[in-house]
Amino acid sequence: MRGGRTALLRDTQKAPLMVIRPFELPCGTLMVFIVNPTGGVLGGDHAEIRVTVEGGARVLILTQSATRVQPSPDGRPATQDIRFQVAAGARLEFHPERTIPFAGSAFAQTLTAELESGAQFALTETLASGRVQTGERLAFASYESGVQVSVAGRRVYLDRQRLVPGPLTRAPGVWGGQDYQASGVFVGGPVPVDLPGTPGVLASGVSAGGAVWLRGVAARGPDLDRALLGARESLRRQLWNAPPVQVRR
Amino acid sequence: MTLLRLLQLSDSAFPTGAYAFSDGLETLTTRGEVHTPGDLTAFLAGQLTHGWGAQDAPACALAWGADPATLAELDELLDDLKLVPGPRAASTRVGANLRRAATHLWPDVVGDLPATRHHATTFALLGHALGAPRADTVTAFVSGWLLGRATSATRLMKLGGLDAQRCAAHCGHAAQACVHAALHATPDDLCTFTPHLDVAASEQPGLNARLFQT
Repeated sequence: MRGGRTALLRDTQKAPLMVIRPFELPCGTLMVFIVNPTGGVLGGDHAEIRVTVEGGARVLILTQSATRVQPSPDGRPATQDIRFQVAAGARLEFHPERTIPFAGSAFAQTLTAELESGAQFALTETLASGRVQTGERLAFASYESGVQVSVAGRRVYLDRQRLVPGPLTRAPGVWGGQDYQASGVFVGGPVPVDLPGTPGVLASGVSAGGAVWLRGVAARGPDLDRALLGARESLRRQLWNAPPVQVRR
Repeated sequence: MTLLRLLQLSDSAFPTGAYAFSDGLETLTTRGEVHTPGDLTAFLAGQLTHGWGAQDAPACALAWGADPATLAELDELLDDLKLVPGPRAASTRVGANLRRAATHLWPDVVGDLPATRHHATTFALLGHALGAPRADTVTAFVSGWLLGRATSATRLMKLGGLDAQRCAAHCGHAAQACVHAALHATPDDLCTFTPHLDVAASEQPGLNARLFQT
């Protein structure tokens, strides 16, 4: 915080990830873009993102475009390790653009958020089955994602997804006939009275630890994005009494 | 005697109440997304590969012969990984019922066992206590799930008992692979990829007419 307003106090970056100069939204939230100006992540690449949010700050982190996971000829995965620390009274939201694993790619990501009591946190992310528009589906080698959120050292949310596409990936109950999936978690605030959802597309619920989770599937990306955005704004309002985010790109 | 007890423990008639839970299959059948024997076979094999079989089966394997602290950690892990409340509650209810019934039958064997909560950890604990080998215990656990789900489907679809058993039989390779993977898993390997079922299981309480609790 600087002068009562959220500010980016320290910024260390190394290619291929870059932090774009942040700007303040009308609601006072500081919006920060993390961009990868290259053609995507390559097998063997390792990226790390570390964010610390001090008490009272309001931060929204976005990515500028989809994470394109390029083919990995030698089979090594591209890896990304994200760690957030959020102080009491602070809010951090992370809503990256879609992850698109290209044919032959391998991707493994871990995201760890450590919150103090009274901190607020939100994450939503989506995954495509491939470059769907070109007809490339489920041609990637592997996708792995582990997300853990703790409050005052106690785990409140854990989601581990691992997919090696195979003949059963299209089975009902797995991905069915869909090509997009969404995940998300919200922490901080009361249990919402109205858990958002879109029948057949997006559901939400409360984890054993008390976090609100989101899960979605759809055949079309825009349908999933619409449902996810609606759920996001509903939860921001119910949990934090926060107005809709007006993102400027 | 050990094999007899293990077979009894995993029998669908053992009074665990597991027959009351479909964990989302009811939603998929209601919507027509699981409609034919082929759909059911794909669903069962898909869950053995990407869903239940990648989470509960390895939890069972890891719980077999484990110390009380490890059992408690596995239960906590299952609490957190089972995001959808219905299947999470079903797992602990079946676990409690399984222990209660086993205690009734074999009080001298089960009486002083450490605490467990979920179905997977409780089944492993009982299998170990009854003297069943680890691989047999996990195989019986997987078989119990597979045949239980196939039997549930006869109440949800136009499907006879023989057809349901044929669906289960067609999942033999997936079940074997599931057991093999479970026996070599570490706690970090517990994971799923079932967004379609996660959404369906969440929506089951809102169905107009329900036969199952989840």
